[in-house]
Amino acid sequence: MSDPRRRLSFLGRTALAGVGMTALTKASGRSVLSLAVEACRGAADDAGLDLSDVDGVLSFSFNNDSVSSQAVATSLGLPAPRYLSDVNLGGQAPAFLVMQAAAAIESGMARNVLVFRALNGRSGQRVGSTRAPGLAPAFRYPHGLTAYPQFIAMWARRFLIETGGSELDLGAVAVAQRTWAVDNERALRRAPLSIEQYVDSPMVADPFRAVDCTTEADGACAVLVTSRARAADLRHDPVVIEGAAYGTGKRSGLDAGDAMLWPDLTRNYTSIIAEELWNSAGMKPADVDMAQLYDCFSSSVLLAMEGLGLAGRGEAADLIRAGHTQPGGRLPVNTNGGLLAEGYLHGMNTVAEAVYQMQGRAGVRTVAGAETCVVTSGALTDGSALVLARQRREAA
Amino acid sequence: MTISAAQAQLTGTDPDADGFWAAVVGGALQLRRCTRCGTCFVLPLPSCPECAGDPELVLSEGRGSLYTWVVVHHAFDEELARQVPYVVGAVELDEGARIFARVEGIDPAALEADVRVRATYPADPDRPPIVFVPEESASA
Ligand SMILES: [Zn+2]
Repeated sequence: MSDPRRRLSFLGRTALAGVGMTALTKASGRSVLSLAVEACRGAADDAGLDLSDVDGVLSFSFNNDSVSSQAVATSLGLPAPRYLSDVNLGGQAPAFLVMQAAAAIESGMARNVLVFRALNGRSGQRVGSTRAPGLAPAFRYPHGLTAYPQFIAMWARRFLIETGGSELDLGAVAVAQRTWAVDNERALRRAPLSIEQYVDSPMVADPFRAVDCTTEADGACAVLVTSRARAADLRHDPVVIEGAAYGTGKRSGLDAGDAMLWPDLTRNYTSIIAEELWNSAGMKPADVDMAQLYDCFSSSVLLAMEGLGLAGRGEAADLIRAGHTQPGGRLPVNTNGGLLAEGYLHGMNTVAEAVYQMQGRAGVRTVAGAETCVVTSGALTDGSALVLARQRREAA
Repeated sequence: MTISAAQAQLTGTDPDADGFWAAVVGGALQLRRCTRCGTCFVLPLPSCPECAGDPELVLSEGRGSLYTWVVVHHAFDEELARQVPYVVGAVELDEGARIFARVEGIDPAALEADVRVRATYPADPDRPPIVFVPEESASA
């Protein structure tokens, strides 16, 4: 095959330029639209871009728990939207939507695109307890298999069986990520967590304890995607999209929770897209300075580290226990505390943390000297990922 | 033909799934087997997920091995909250199809990967519709 970068013309030519995020709470007391508008306006302001220059809005929702891009464009007074799109996806979406925004920009369909996720995920419609319609749920609910912690616990159990691991491997993820969260003022769970406290946490869907599960939240998050050239004239260092992939495999399933057909529950989409992702960036796993890995549940970090080649088979938990993913480690992972600790904005905030880090704006959590970051979206059979790189500019 | 209470509870959610649940109420697991490549699957897809060939209906022997499982401690609705803790397993049927269903008759703490199980079909509509038990166990 010729240079695979040629297949994605936006790579190296598009960038993330700004982030907007509301507070994450357990009861916002506000409409989803107002949350979405705050985050989107915030992302444009953060980038230093006038809202009148925004001509695209992209979003995703799950079981109609959000508002449309059209409604947000209207509320923001966008003068001439040219690319508005809403997709019905969950955590697979954030990196994928950044790719779609970049493709729209590269092709000329839009110039500056906001990608957002907004929901009252705790006080309103909770994904953990919402019964989805459709054919696959008809083969889960009669058995009492009703919620994501249960679906993904199946993956986690088989992964631990095949890798010779234990529940303490899951605990290692939760404990390590909390070392970051204590310094994240946005995080809903900030108290330090020891492995002893982990073991004492109540079982929810064995092998998952409460602290293996993300914290449902109300809130919104948005990022601004633009051309690399435009980003270079905006407020912060451009975060260039150097690599990108979305994918799944044969037998992907009928919905995001369906694993009846997927052959191997110890390997998720990350193992499928890894080669394309790294080739697209012209990089190897060892070349990235940090990773922001979608973690609705602790096990998905282990699967993603393996799937992307950041760890060998069954070795991710050992790397984490040795401290390599914590502050000061050689591969910081989920530096906002992850979805486990910061809160569940379905991985849009995972992308946001990557942007903050690549722009040197993550406060005391900023990883000094970090220039590259891999970001994933999704935990199951399909998902997406980006490789991002900081473009340092001369100090103004 | 009149339908049982159990059948009424399980059918009607999706027309493609009704045949499967009607068979369960009759004490059988219905599979689809590809007439081209022989792949078997539980979901009532219109074509084979391996090769897009046409499927035919076959009945499973109802035996298989436990691939993985979850022990549910926190239920998200009242009816299920009365049943915790309970085990939902992913069973690889001998025909090659995976199905999710309850697993009983083994202490959850004593469950092991790949243990042999067989399907039973409780008639009581207050019980789960498919319950896998250890293959050698006599009880239904
Ligand atoms: Zn076939």
